Amino acid sequence: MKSNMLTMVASLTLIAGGMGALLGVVHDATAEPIAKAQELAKAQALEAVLPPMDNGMTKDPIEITVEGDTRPVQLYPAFDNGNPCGAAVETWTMDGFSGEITVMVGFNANGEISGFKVLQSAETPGLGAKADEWFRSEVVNDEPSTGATAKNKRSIIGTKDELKVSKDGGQIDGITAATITSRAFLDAVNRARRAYNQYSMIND
Amino acid sequence: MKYLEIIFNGIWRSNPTFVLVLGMCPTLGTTSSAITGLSMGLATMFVLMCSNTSISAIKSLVPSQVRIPAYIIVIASFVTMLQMVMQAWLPSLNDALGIFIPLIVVNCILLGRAEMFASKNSVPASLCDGLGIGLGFTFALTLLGCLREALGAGTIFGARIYPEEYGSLLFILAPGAFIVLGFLIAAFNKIRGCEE
Repeated sequence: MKSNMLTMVASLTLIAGGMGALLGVVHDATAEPIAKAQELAKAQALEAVLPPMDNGMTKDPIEITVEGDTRPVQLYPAFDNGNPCGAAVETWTMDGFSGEITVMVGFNANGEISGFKVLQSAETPGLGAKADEWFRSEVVNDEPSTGATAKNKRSIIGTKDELKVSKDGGQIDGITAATITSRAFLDAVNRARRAYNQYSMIND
Repeated sequence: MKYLEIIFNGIWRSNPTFVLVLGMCPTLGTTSSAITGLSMGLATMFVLMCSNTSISAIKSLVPSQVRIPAYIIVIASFVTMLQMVMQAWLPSLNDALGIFIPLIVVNCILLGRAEMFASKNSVPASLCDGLGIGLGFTFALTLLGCLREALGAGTIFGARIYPEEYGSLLFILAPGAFIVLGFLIAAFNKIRGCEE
């Protein structure tokens, strides 16, 4: 094609316009399924971390900013026959080995951690990426020589306090060879804990 | 017959990974397991077929000075569509591939095929070239993913072949990707050398 200023502008405009129109069509077709998929993912995460309850929970989160932070966490309060019975907190940390990790942490009515789910992380596969299984595994290690059984200290389920990895003098065993991820994960969990404490203080 | 030859050419004689050595970023980044390697290959193949076909169809409309921005608009649009479709119907796969889906835009295989093949050949031939190169890329990524997953985690497509404790984590990490890729390219060259 003969090229001058006019044909160049015309052809680029035509192509951009055509592709833009096509994008618009695909966007319209996928907008609703995308919203549904995101809603479903969130609902599944909430269901996975919270204790069973009689009636549904409010889907509208409360934003709570923990002292010292600039970015809020999302708290989803749970109700059982109108009485508050714990909450799920969508929390975050920026201290991961590869940046941000977001975790959904559930608290039951007693303020104990009832469950959690890593929503988003870019941690090293095979190391830090194990966080989602590691911190819930309650393996009992048999010691054949002495006959004693020892519980590992990995699980955070059921805890009520601020958590630290055992390397830092805490009560939770970090992931082998992934101490940075372990610290970051517990940082996110502690942030959720503080947000939950603030929430339950308002409610009392 | 000619079209079959174009497809075969993309898979074997000018395999994008083992022969052209293009698109190394997703090759190394997404092959820590067989399933992510396979999905990345298929995603790239889809975009490659769409972009090759449309670029070949509009080649006579595009003045040569602005052909690169024109190709990039086409490629970027198809990648965005792919991402929207994946978010809607395959959200877990979309999460697993993460940033590598939008990065298909800058995969040099796509621009390379647009410039070298689609802008000079007919629409059906370009479609076949996209299919062939896409299949070649998928083949390479799946093979690499299988080997890394097998050596590193003791599984292939999640099916266990030996206990996890014996796996070497190195192969899941980036250095392992380079090592396996190096051996695969060497093996590929050997086999191709014997053929010729």
